[in-house]
Amino acid sequence: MAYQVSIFLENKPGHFRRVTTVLKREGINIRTMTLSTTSLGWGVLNLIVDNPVKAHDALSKQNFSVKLRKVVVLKMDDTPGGLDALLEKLENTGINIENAYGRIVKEKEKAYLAIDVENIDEAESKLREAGLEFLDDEVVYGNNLN
Amino acid sequence: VKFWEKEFETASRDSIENLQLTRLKKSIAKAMHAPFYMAKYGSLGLNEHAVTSVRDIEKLPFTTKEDLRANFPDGFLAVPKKQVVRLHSSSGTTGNPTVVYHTRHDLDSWANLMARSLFCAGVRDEDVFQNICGYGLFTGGLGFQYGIERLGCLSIPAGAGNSLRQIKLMRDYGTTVAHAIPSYLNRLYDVFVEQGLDPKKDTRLHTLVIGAEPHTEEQRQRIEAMFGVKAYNSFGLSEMNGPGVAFECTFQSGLHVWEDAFIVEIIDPETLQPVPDGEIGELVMTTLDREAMPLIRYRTRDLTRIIPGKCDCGRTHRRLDRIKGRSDDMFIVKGCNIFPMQVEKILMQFPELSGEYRILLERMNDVDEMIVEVEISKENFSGDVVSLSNLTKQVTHDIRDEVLTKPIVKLVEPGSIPKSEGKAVRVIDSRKLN
Repeated sequence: MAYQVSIFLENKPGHFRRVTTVLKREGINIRTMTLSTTSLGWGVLNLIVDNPVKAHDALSKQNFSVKLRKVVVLKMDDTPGGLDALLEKLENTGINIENAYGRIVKEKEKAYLAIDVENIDEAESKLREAGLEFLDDEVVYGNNLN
Repeated sequence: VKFWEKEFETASRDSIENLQLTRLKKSIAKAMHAPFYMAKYGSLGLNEHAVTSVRDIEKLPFTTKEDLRANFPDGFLAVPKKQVVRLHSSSGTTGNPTVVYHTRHDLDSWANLMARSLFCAGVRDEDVFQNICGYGLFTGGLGFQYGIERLGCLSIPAGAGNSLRQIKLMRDYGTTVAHAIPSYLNRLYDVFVEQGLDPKKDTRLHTLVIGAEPHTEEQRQRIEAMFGVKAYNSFGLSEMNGPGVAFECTFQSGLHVWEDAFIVEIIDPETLQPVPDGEIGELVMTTLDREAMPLIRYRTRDLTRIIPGKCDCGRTHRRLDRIKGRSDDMFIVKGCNIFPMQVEKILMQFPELSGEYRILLERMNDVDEMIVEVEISKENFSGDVVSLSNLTKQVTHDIRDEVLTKPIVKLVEPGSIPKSEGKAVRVIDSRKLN
């Protein structure tokens, strides 16, 4: 199972970049991301990077509230209807998505959807039962594209 | 100028001081029936014979809020409990509350002072008086209620909040006088406007009584302009009964403090020495006409000054200036007295928070807001928006339960709250009060 790096950020100019500055210095590559903001003046940045543990430790050292959170990463076809087919299977399992973000792995071949759910371990077995295909962590992190 | 009790209100300074001395001696003698004063004065060899002039009060020790709390619940009770007919108590669940007991005589005397205060601000028995104030343990409800009735007005015990209902009451019964905290009146005015009403034309209000919350002269003038009324400043504190301690007369040049019922001193909070009239210091008060719980040299922690000179109204009781602030860390938001410790205790209950916080007091559109900025924990960060939103809601709810006013809770990043050298600056009050 892959990990995303979740970071608490105040919604203020320059705060997002403080994260990217740390990642740049550590030579960490971002694969995909989402940023959820709230009306309460803060948000949570979710990153999938090539080395989540290293990213977590580096950000934590810089005083960020940061957490490694397991995500389920599901394969889909990079064709029209690919996501719809995946979501159809997902819907049948009754699992509710808290947050999701996608990425193309290799143009016109594969894509994936990373989903964040409430009970990750239960979700994983349900999704396997439903016949959904999981992506290898190394592929998610972009270290092995073949 | 008319008076409620001319013989008291316009007495010569000499006769006021003679009355004060007689009553001070009685108060000391009564107080010594309470376990706290019995022990303290006993150990210092003090009693009512220690004072031969009002100035001799400086020989007596101070009484503090900490003393009241440490001797909870009845270490200050000077009469058998059978004679007590009511108590008022501070809110909050942090530490012991501050409780004040009253006998029938005490309530009678308080109602009279309250009636005198309102009369002094031009309220008369033909007025319809709407008390927009919480009833219950808070003294602003019942304290005003009994005074309004003593004066003979038609009283409307409306209670706090529910602006539409307040407006309806005002219009249905032809309210001419209302009492509320200043920040609420700003909100009430907005509701008038939203309803397409103008309080100047659509009500019969001529007087507003404002208090329980520090405010500026500008704020008073805005309220007067919005409602087309005269607004008068009311001062009191539950330890000295509640409202009816000091009140503005129609000349609006300071608050007459009723010196037949209280001795006022202004001291330097550092040296504890008296400061000359006109200089700002901490208000210290002594009750002169209370049976159940006489308090001698009580440090109110409110900063103010005696306004020198005579008032044109003819009352000889000296005037206090508007409250300028506090000599401790208590602050007041929307009429609620709040100590930072109350907020801190709540925040410490959440492992998701680091414990670093600060409180910002801001005035937004004339309404006071308490913003609690609190750092989230590095270790116990869940990483998802939903649980952080729920955390914000829970913290807001718990603080509101404790201090009785709703804060704005802002989660901030770890390390983002400036750490000060030495004593932490937890409260930043950017409301201007001068």
